[in-house]
Amino acid sequence: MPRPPFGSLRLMLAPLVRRKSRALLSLAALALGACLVTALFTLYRGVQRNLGHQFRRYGANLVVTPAPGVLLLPRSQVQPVLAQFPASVGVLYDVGQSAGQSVVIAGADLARLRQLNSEWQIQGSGALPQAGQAWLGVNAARLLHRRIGDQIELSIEGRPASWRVVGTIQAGTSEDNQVLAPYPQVAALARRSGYTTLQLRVPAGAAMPAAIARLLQLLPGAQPQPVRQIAAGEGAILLSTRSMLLATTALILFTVGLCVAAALTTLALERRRDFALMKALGGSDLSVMAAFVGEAALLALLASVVGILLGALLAGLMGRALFGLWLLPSLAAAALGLVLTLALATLAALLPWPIVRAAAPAAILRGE
Amino acid sequence: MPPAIALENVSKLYGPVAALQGIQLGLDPGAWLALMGPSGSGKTTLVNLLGCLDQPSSGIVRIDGTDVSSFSRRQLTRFRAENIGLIFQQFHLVAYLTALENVMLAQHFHSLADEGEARAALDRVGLGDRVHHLPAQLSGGERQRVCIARALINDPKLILADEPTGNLDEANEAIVIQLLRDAHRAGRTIVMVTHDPAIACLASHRLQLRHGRVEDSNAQSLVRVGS
Repeated sequence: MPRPPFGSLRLMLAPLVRRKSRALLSLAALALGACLVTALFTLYRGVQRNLGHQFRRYGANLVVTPAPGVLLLPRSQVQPVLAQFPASVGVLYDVGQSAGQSVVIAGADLARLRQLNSEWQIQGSGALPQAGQAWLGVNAARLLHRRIGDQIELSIEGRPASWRVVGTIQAGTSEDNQVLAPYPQVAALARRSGYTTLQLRVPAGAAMPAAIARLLQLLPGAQPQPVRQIAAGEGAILLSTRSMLLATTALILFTVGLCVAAALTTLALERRRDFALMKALGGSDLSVMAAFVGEAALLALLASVVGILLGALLAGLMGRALFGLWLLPSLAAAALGLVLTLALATLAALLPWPIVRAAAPAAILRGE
Repeated sequence: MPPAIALENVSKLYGPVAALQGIQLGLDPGAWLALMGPSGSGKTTLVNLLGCLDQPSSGIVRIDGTDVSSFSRRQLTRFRAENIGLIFQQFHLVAYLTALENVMLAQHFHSLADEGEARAALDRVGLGDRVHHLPAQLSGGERQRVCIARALINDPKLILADEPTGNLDEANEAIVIQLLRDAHRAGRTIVMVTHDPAIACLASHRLQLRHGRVEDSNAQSLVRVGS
């Protein structure tokens, strides 16, 4: 039965254990490489997930309007869309009068609308408006001279209503000029059923065309329009952020590779005599090289463990600073850190091949 | 049984300089040859050829019946690992390996390192209690004994010893000579370079080199062809 190569493993470990100072530079460089690869890959994945999450807080990136010549999207047709797309809401707009001013009145499922626009700043109790209540956009509140707790008198085509203001919203968008109330309340006042627009948040990039195709199936003739500023901006920021992370990782790996190659070449130069002796003892160029590469691989393995743990910590801290979330490295990030560190160490250890090959065993006998 | 060593008209040139010229030599298995001569006489070159560390410029080198003259570098390395044990005047132990690991190193390049066998080899040279010492922690005699244990670990047929007692005091010299005698008694062929006539007298055969040629030999059986 073949014996396990523990003895050979011991011979590769010995120089690392007994010549710590020489191995330390390579170990530190490789650990740094593994640390940054793990951290940056975790960030790379985190950017995709969390930047998308950040964008989702800024509202819809797709708006559906009725077919030309049609005023509203029928509720019956919109219901399946709302069921299939969790981040979506139908909104009914009408123009009313209040205090002698024209004002846009929006009716919607305010819980869904709020969820879709989690960046909105809402003053008030924080509770959603119930029947007979409304939110006012900050500009509308200023224009109509209304505060939280006041009643607001409205009318649409002469039909009056009096709602209590339970909150003001600051959205930075057209909602700042509107009165927002529960859909049934606005629909009853306007005496209309259906939605003026359907607002959705769908994943950016490749998922967008698929979502549009599905919407057209559910709402034939409707007109889906991506909100360009957000959709394009999200894609561009994601792309540039990920490209920057990739470029940074490549640069770091290149720098670490140079450092490790220099350290291992110095190590090989110091050990020319040992290589010659090994060859005198019966070691071929390849087996002597394999022992040296094996030594570097063991070093890389140790460096990977240290580096991945440090990388996990670094990723967590960076995630917290950037996204307010503690990013955990995936198994893929750890595996990538390990594989790249091993590959880097192996490649760097192969560079001294000419030194190993030139080590002449005959010189050992001559005492040179 | 083929001769342990057979050299037929072997020459080795380094550019215009002839390190060895027309060497004819035959050595029976189990013989002990003392190789003598002044510096520059070609002793080391001859040992390099016998140790498969170098190739002759012309002529044939046979070790245990195998013509190694035309072997590739890789074949020479393998042949050396299988058949030859080397003992150096300067010991040449790897500084960061313990005595045990230095012996295991020869096993590693032969087949597979085995701690038990390496420990037993060090026991046989009287270093059972020094196995975990680094070369720097050993005396010259102890280092040479580690070197001998390493040379014997793969059970080679031929042992090449280049001035094995050159750097030792009398007490350690006696120990090393005894170990070589034991190896000789066990049937191994030994070629030993030495400057010391007293030590050369312990060998069964002596060969004196001068200017790359055989100057003198004490046995007809040794120089079988020509010379």
